[in-house]
Amino acid sequence: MKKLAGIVVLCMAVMMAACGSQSSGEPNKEQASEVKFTDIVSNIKDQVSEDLKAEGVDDTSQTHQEVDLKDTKDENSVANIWIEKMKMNPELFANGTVIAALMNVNADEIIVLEAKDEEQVAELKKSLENELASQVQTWERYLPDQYEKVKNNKIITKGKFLLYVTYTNPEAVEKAFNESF
Amino acid sequence: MKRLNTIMIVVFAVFIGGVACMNLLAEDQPFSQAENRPLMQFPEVSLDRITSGAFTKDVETYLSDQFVHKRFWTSIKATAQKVVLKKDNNGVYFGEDGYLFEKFEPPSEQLDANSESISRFLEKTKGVSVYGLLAPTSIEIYPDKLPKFAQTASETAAIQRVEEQVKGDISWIDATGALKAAKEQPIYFHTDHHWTTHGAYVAYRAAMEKMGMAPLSSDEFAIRTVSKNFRGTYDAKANDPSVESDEIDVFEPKFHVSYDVDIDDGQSKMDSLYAWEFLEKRDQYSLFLGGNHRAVTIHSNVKNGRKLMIFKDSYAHALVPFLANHFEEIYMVDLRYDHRDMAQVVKEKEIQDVLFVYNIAGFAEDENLIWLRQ
Repeated sequence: MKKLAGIVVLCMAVMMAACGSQSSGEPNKEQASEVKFTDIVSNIKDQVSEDLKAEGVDDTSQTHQEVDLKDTKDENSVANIWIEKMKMNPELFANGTVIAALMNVNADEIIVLEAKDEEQVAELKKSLENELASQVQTWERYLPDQYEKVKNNKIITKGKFLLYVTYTNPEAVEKAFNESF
Repeated sequence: MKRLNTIMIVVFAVFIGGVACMNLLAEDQPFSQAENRPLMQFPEVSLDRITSGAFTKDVETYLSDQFVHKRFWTSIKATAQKVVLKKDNNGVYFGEDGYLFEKFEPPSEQLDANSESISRFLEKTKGVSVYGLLAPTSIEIYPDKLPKFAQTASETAAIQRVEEQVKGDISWIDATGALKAAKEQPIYFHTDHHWTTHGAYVAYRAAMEKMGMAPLSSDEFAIRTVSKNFRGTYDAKANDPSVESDEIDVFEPKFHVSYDVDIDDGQSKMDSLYAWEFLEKRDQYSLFLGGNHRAVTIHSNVKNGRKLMIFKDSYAHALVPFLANHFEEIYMVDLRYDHRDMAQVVKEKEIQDVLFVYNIAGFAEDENLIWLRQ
């Protein structure tokens, strides 16, 4: 029965997608330039530490690693590893932060990027898609609950900003991101 | 004539309609034992996902994953391909003597990047003995059993490329030479991408020699066949019902030895190197150390103070039971799931020996050795 309902939803979805495609191309011009990258990151971090506290983790630095993607002076820095792993052009973004699980068997990965200008957003999005492909490859044969998270990954762009979320509750992080504007 | 038409129409309608009905009525499966992977469930519906196209893409995967009696239909395809003399199905060649082989693609830049990652790791672990073992897969050992005109790149050349590229103090273990010399033995599975315990034993002897230790002779082990119905990953891809199952042998030490195995820092513990429950499942190779984990620590009763760290893929799982008889502690790390600063871990744990164990096909595409650079 669930399937039958699914098929009906599918048919509706196809129709809606066909109707909706004209209007979705319009960029969101209204958000002004005063949005600060650091505010977005700190809102997201608040959300993550709140969630971790609920799970009984007080010190986020023990379980999650925060990486400033602009910290590339040392050739072997973690920032450089991420940049190379995602096959990203470091010239394209003004700011970037990765919050990722360090050594827990956990697929959590949140990436926030601010492009130097809006033209570069599409190119940066490709790098995030590379990362998603790599996460899929890593997790599809391992822990099913973590792989669920990867499958629910969200990549969102808003103006010059990009958000990549692999997380237990991606909607919460998405909300923290959106509310920063 | 009219009657024939009616029959045709009925048969056609029943076939199309019947399969469609069966699909609608069948329960969704969460996991495919045959393919050893979770199956797509009905995707989440949201306006975002619909407009972005993610929803329809997922529905497509969902429908093909959950197709009723999928394995039956795919095996018809495999059989049909063989009948018309096709040499492969899903990139797996049908070789002679019941061997299935997977094509080795010419290595990409990822291989070079991985060599670079090892070089940078070596810079930070001076004074530690580092060994590398890159194993070929079966296609490199048995080119004579491949179908005519089958295309594959040279794994030996790829292994040599890595050995030449890596700068620093590392000793390479010549597994390829040892395995080629032992090709008359059952060193590779016919239906899976791994080596057998016999293959791992041959590599173990080569490794011991390089490490300056005396390997145990095969007389010191009782070789026991623990499975006769193993069908591995090549079988899942080729899906050819006429290919015979593999056997799995284990080498049980005749001498007394005991092990404590800790998985993912206390997540679970075993007192054996074998997780026997996997023999009841499709993925029987996970018998060895219970398959892939982030970090596995093995303490043995060999009190010689030697500590070995292994960066590895699943080829190591059949090899480690031999090595465990020579080291007091073995730390196995899977870089896919563990992103710690490993040079630091080596220092903290006062590890004297480090070993890389990968099969070259996996190594050439592995995206996680980069974590060794930090």
